[in-house]
Amino acid sequence: MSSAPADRKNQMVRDQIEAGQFKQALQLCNRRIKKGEKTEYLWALKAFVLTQIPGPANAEEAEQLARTLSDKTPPVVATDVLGLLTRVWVQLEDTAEVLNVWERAVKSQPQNEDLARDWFFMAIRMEDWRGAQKAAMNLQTKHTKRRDYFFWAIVSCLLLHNSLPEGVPERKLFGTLAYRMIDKARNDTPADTTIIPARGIQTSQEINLMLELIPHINPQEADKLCLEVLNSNNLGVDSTVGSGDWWGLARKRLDLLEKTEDWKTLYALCKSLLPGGNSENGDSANGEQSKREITGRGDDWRVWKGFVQAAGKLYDAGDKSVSQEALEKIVNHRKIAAAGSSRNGDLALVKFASFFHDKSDGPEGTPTLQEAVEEYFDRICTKNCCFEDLQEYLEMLEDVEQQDFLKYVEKKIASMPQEMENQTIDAINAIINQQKFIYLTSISKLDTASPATTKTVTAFVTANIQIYTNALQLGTKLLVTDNQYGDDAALLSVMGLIRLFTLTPTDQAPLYQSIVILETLLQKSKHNYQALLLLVRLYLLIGSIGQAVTTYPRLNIKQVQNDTLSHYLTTRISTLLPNDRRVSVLISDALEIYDSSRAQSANMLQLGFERGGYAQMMGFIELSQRIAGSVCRTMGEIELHRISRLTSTPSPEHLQEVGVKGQVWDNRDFDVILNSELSSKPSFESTIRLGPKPAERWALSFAAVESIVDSLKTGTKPPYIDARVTEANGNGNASTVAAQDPSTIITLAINNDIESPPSDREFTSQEIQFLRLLTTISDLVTAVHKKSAESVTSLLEQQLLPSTLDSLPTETPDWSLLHTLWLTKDSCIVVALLVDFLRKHAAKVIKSNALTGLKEAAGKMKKDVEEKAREVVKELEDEEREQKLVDQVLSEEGVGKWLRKEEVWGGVEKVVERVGRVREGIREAVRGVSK
Amino acid sequence: MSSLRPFHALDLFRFNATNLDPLTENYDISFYLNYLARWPTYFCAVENARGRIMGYIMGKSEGHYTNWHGHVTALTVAPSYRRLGLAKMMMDELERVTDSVYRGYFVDLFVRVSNEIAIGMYEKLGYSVYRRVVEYYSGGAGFAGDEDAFDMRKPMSRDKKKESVRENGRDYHVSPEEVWF
Repeated sequence: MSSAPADRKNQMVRDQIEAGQFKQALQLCNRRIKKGEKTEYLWALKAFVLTQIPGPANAEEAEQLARTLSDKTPPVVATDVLGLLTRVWVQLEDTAEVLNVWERAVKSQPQNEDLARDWFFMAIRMEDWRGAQKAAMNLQTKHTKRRDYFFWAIVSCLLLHNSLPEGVPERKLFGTLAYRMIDKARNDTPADTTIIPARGIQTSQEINLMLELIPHINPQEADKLCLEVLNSNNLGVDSTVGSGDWWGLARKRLDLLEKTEDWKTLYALCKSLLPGGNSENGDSANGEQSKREITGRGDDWRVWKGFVQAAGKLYDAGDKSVSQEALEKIVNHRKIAAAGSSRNGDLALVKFASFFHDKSDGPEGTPTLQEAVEEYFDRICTKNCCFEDLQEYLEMLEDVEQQDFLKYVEKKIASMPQEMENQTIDAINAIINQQKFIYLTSISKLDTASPATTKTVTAFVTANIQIYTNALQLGTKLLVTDNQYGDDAALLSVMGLIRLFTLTPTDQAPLYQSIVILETLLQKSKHNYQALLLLVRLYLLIGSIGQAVTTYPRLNIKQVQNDTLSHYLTTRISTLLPNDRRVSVLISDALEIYDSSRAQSANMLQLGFERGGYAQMMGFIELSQRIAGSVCRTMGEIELHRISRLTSTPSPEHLQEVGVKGQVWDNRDFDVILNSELSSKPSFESTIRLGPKPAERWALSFAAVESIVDSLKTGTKPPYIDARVTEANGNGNASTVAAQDPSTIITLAINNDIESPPSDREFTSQEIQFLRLLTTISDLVTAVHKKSAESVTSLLEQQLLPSTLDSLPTETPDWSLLHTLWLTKDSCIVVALLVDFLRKHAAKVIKSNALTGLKEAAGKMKKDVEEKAREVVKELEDEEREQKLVDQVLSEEGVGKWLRKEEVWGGVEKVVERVGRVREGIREAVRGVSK
Repeated sequence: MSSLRPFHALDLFRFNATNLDPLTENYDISFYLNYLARWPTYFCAVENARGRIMGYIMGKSEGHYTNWHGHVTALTVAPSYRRLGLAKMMMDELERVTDSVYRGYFVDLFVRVSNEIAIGMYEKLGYSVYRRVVEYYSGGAGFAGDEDAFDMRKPMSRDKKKESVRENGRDYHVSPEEVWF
């Protein structure tokens, strides 16, 4: 055991490691070793430090030290030393040694349970599933009284199985082993649960583990086997063990019955679960029978959906009595259900009617779909969710029926009492639902610009502005955290205006009007996140990037939301406002989630095992993998690298290598913004994106760009060049070799992008141009390293940079102009780096004046970009133009009539001020390019 | 339409409609996973027909002897889905789990004393104030400074004599340190 002074000295080394001062840490270790200190921990510490300092000599010395410790007899058994050795071998990419060192330690002390557990948890934390499986098997065979070790072994076998590629015999072996073990546990569990053997299944988590495991091991019969478990007396939904997660298991059974199309059983089961059914499990917490009759556990949309679907399928199969019974059940439920109870039964009737909509058929008493939808509106129209509940069914109706429905809605709203304040609030909600229906059935269909279209949309926008304005007087007593009752109407008006803008993108007045509306809304509903997200996007679209950066923090995005939501601001941001320090701070903060997630996931996996949360383990692992491989992470890293290049600041040290390692996941949330578009149309959110949606192809290509830039800066030979030689010798794996070549990666990506339908494209045209330049540069780097003078000369004959920016449209400067200017500037920087690289490494094969010419061309183009930016700023300063825009925004013919009003909107002066602020925001962003 | 289901780790990517609300706290990932690992049946989401999360509840079991109980750590419903009875639906489930799975004596929760709407809702669900916890909440979005909490309780069937609740709990003041189990 270490003495206290040694502890202090070790801590000093660890502090240096923590601070990233590896050379100082190494000096501390060497000094102590020189003085004769020979503890295992010190050696292991030194080996670890050596792995942190690049260079083959350090790696070799680290390996020697680690080898000495790993082969020691008697073996190392101190867990802190073993932990360090593990990290050393992982760094040296020798996981077999990790296994060896722990196995020897545990074998030397077979009764040391703590050591064996440490091995298991170390393997889990490192996601070394093979090590974990061995460690868990060792635990469960040596320490047979601990039932949890038995389940750890099962889970570890499953994790190892899942980590192995399909087709590897070992995969099947470990899967079968896991299944046999849990199957034995299942068979050992008696129906009478007063005494369950230690290795029987005792918790609902263990049942869930079994259900999770079966599809992995026996996909062909999985559904049948899982249903057998869920129907069984000892472990089924209604068993004592299963009662711990009764509803979770019951849902699984419904899912499986639906999947296997066992409509009869599904129908009977749903019927028994519904309120008034014969379920024994539906008692509420306090066992109130009468309460259960109405709000029993079965009053859940999952059950109603299964019930209606099964009835419909049985009807199709010729069993018509069932559908009659189902209809009666729904109707009766709606009769006895108290007002304000769940709306599931009401919607079940709509779903039931929808089933017979195209058939013009159905049991007696079946309402038409239009009647059912109207009846649903009658009951639920005051709830915000009415629109999304009905959207699917409304889209099934013919145009004429839709118009009849809208007339019905209008009549209904006209008949709603509005004497009391709460009645008026209800009416406002119903009216907003009506407006969403109008958007869906009329506005969403408009896809060509015309005077008639403008008239229709303008009428819609002004109607909603009026609704919003009228509703404001009802919200005077609302809390600061509440939204105003009419906010959705204001958002609908913005959606209408955006529709006008997308049909005529050269007219930016609707964008300015939208911004005025949203800014006003957010004064009254400070936390309305829909409005905040929309406003961030609109500022970006219009080019007032600084305003977007100022507004974004009001969303208070934290933790995992950085992965799902930060893209609303940060997508392509380095080509819009790289010179604003706040941008890199925001991205860096967002990227912290990835480091913290890595540490937290390891702890959580351990906790999952310790607490027996086996059914959660797969979810934890998938979550961890999806965060680690998030496309947003790579996008953020790329943005930071480009910012550092464009602003001549050092690139972030901890992000030296932009990584796309392993599978790429897209965790971004695009659905959080209100959407009332037809399901056949692109979502509203997609109409306000800044260019195509970047995803895996984009991330791979721009990560490749960073590797090309890195090879220009360092001058070192990229590893793929040697790999290419291997390929030429016929010994290489062609796809692997190709995947490592940045030029090939980018070319493939561009080709795929061009061939994709517009909705699947990821690159802007400016990005494609930039990427093409980089492929040429990459080929040049390769040619230089291969000493192919001919290739170098011919590649240099290509025109690398555009000759002029004259064709760049600048009439309506927006994000796209900024994007073009910054990307062109980035191209110039990269070309300048290329020239430096060629001067150092290819001076002999290239004429010096050719390089000087190239450098001058890059310099000139950079100056042209800056000059162009200055021109645009001048145009933006033109007061006449600004006045013309203000006039358009305040045009009496449309929404401007409303925005002129003092009350609510602040009058003409306020609008002028807001428009002026946006224009200043655009000028500021463009000015950034000119510096 | 609404459907209750167990919360899944991947739901952390999909709960923005609730967690963008200023009154809903965003914890670090390990906080949610800790609850999933330890009390999976106490962590449920309500989703609509499109699978969108409308709200969620997370809770835990804690305490000793007659203080053994279920605790509501977080209950949230997205702004668009309020006044639909979803909170009640989730509370019913947490009470069912407390009563029949964990056999707790009561369910408790903390609520800001200023949050009259929530207090009213919990009272309707059978909860009453057991004590007032002084300066339990620190200031945050939309809140000026520290704020007291009411510790509200509802007895479960195991508490036959209703000993877990008291009259006039609003007048019984305690410090935050006194409420840890």
